[in-house]
Amino acid sequence: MLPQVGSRIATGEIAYSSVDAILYALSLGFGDEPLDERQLRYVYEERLETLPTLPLVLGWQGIWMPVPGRELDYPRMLHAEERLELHRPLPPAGIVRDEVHLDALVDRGPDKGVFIHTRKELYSENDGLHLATLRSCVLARGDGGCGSAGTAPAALPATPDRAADHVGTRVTLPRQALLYRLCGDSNPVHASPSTARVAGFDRPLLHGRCTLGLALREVLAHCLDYVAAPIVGVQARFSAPFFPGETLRVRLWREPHAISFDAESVERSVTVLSHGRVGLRIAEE
Amino acid sequence: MIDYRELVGRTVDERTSSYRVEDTILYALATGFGADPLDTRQLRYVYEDGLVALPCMSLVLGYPGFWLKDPAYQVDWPKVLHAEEHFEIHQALPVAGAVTGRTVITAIVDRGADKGAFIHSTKEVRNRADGALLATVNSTTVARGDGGFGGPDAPRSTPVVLPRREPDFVCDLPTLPQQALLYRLCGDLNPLHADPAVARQAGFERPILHGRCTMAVAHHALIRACCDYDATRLRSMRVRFTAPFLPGETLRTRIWREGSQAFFDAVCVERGVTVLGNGLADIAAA
Repeated sequence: MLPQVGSRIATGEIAYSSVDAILYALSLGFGDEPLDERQLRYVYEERLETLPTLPLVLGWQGIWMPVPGRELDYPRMLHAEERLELHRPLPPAGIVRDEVHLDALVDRGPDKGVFIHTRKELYSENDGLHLATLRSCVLARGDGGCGSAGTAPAALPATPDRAADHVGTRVTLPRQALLYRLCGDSNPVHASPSTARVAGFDRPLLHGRCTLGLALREVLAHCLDYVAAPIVGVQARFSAPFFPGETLRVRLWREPHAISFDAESVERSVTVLSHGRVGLRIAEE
Repeated sequence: MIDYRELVGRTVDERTSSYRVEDTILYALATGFGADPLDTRQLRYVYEDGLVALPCMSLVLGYPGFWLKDPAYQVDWPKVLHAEEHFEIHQALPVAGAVTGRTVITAIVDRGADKGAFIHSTKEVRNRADGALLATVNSTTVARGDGGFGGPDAPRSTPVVLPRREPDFVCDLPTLPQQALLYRLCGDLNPLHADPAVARQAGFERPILHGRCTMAVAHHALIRACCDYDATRLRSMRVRFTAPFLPGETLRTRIWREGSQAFFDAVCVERGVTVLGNGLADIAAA
């Protein structure tokens, strides 16, 4: 049973430490060149900075985490889109509060499923400052036929129709999903081979948000010299599963005040992220 | 200068630490378990469903930190090296819970101004709720700059002698370049293992892996070669640290089985250097 559109579906207070911020960066592969001081700022507590996508793993993890009394077809859910607006950089440790709202349902019918649009607002607990807005879209393949309601966000813009300016290629770790789970999304489909098979995959897949973080790393590496300060937003569509241990190839386009990107699995030649965009702060004159 | 009369017998640290299932999993991942996520024998150490705590995790439970750095001990701490480590499991470690760790200096041996001082300490790990002794961990550090303080000399503990024949098992386990960065999150935040500048000051060209993490990789080799991945059969383990091992290198553990014992050492494959020596483990029957 889906909650009412417009309602607040979760709220909570989350304390996180520098260890959590470092674990998040390590679980995205930062630090695999441990002598690169530019990466060290995300994985070493001296002069620690947080990655812009840290709000993805703070607090509420997603509609796919089972809630008693909300009987949804969890194994058949697919993460479809993610849009993060970062209003302020997060400190390396702190206490935050999240408020999660159900914004819209876009029903495709009983056979196709329903797109569930949620929005997580993140606030600093001590001063109430608004830190981030995270809009997530999940396709619940087994919960269609419920009717549409609310207003979904506008479609994500496509990547440019020209050759990429940069291409970043990196091999992921077979244990990448096991590490990333420790950041809070412990859905067993990312660890248990039998759960993955029940969900229709031949092995555990990587969290979409981890793949998104991997793509962000290529943006930082190739376009921003590993300096995250200008980043004000990250968004992408999850177009196919990506598996731990595969090679991710990220195509990057420099645009005014943004880097557009998509990503594919090199081994399977399948696009796994599309409509990717990292928004950059417009420099003040 | 070390005042050994004042220090021997002293409790240097006593703490209670709570740990979660996630910490137990992180320990296993940070020591290399789960490298093959489809190997269900390894999955029991890195997935909460049916989770088992690794015996070597006793090294990080109730861990006192780098207590020798405290000026109260008057030790030239940048010249301190970890020399030996030993643990014995008395009861299987819980996958989550609250434990107390109590660390006591048990002996200080003066090997002379040129060789340094050997500082022996023991940590007891107990269940906080009922006080049951879970594990005993013995550590030996050599303070290279603190010999010649006029304390008693004594021969170093008798080293384990490895059999002269060819090893029964040879197990190569690669480590990750970021292995030390991960292992730090298990509680040993010594910057030597993360900060290139600190490592250079200490005389290394790059951050080295924690000796206790290298030991845990050898413990993985023992669990693979001798225990069919049933870690609860590994009851005790002792080792000498003979040279630094670097994150990203491959550890080759050579194992000799003799009854319920497994003798071992470990070599860095890339550099051909023995990094763990005089190793001995007790292994219970299946």
